[in-house]
Amino acid sequence: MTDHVPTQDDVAAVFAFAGLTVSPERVTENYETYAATLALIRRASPPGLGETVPAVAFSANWD
Amino acid sequence: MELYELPLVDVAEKIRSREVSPVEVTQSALGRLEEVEPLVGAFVTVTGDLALEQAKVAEKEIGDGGYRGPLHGIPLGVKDLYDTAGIPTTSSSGQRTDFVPSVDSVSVAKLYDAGMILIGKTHTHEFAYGATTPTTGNPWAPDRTPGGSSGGSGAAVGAGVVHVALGSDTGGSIRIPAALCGTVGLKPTFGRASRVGVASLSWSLDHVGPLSRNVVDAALTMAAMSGYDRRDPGTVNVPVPDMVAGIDGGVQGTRIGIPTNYYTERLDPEAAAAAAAAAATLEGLGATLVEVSIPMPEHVIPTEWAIMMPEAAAYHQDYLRNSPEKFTDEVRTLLEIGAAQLATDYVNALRLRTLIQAAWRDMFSSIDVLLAPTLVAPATLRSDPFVTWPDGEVEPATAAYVRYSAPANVTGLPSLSVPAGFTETGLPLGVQIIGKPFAEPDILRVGRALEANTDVVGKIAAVASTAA
Repeated sequence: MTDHVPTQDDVAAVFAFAGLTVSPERVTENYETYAATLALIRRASPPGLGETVPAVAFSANWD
Repeated sequence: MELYELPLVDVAEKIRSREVSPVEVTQSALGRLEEVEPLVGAFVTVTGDLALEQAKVAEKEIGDGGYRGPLHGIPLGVKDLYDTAGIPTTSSSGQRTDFVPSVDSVSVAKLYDAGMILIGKTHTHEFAYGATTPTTGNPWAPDRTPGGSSGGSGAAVGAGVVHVALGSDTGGSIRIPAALCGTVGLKPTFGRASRVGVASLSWSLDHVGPLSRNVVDAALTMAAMSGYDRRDPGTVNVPVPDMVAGIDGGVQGTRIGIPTNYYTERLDPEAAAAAAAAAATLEGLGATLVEVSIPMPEHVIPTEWAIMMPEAAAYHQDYLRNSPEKFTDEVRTLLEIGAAQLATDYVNALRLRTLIQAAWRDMFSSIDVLLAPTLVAPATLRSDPFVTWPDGEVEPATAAYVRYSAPANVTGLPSLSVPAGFTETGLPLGVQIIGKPFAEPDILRVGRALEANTDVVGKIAAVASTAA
């Protein structure tokens, strides 16, 4: 699987959407870290997960 | 010999029999703290006056016949992530310099109930988000990292200030400093103990537990901290076992998994040799070694980060939007990444976690515990927190240290790190014993067998004399 590496514009846009104040200089300075880490994270979203349910728990019990 | 130098169980027996007072024990701990703290910087806050007050109360209770058990009157260090009523709790962050909780975290309250004495709050890598704890030095070599995030706790125990200090573990933050500082470290099963009152890094990966000098100390403390808490939806309503009763049961017939992959990759030769020696020791005691292949190895680290990063960003959202400049640049950058992650990437990581858990369950069908190096390498220099591999690859210390510890967070399985040796230059090395869900007594029994049959567990770093 080829890593999906976001562009610098992608990163800046998503920071704005997330309501973060990240200057263009800061995006440029840290772009390599942002992009490499987001690409690593994307590897945990492989195709073919099918009917697999997430490992989360919710209990409706009040006890 | 000073009181702080004795094993916890020996100090406890002297307190029980009134041969020594908790006040004397506390004074000994505070004296050791004064001696080593200028070199290691393990504590954010020292609570000397409170400790002596608590010790006097313990002394009176015991004198009146109210002995509570082996933790009564024993000094404790608490990671500054845990709320302590009336005492600053900073998470070693500029975001919380003035935060003074009004209520104790559940773990601290339970250990107070057991009679423990708070010596002080220990440094964490900011908000537990990193594995080097830059504020603190390693007691075995103060120019090297104590690891993290519970680095202050590792340094405090390794230097002999306290027998027990609390840590938290999201990707290895108890076991990493334990291994680097030459202490025991126990990350329990996910759900074993309440996290209420402990600042979160990642709700679905966080665990609370002790770092300690000896294995039995960890068993006593973990048992006292454990139990269901309806306020923490991660806790599981299962009985808390006696973690000490069978600890000397030995390993005859125990099937010990030896990994043939993952825990063998990009591994320092001295760390590998220490793990091999531990396996040989256990085999010599009657255990059966069984080679196993770690399933889905390529998915472990992406899954760990894909779950941790957005959960951390969600927890810190208000700070990140309103006062990002108060974070260190390193932690701010990590939080920004978490805020930029797709929700679908997060949910798919949780789905992958389901598959990884099932695959590890299958792997455990042929073994009782898994034995592996705790870390890929010993402590790096604080001034150069990177590991350089023979092929020239340079790996940041946090990423390197988390590689071997994260599987137990992703699977939620209990893992005990035990000292396993020293490098030629005198730096500690550790091995971890990973068990089945809620099988803490099993991993403690194996760890105790290693402790009893080697001479590397229970040592105190000679911090002051090293520096002199």
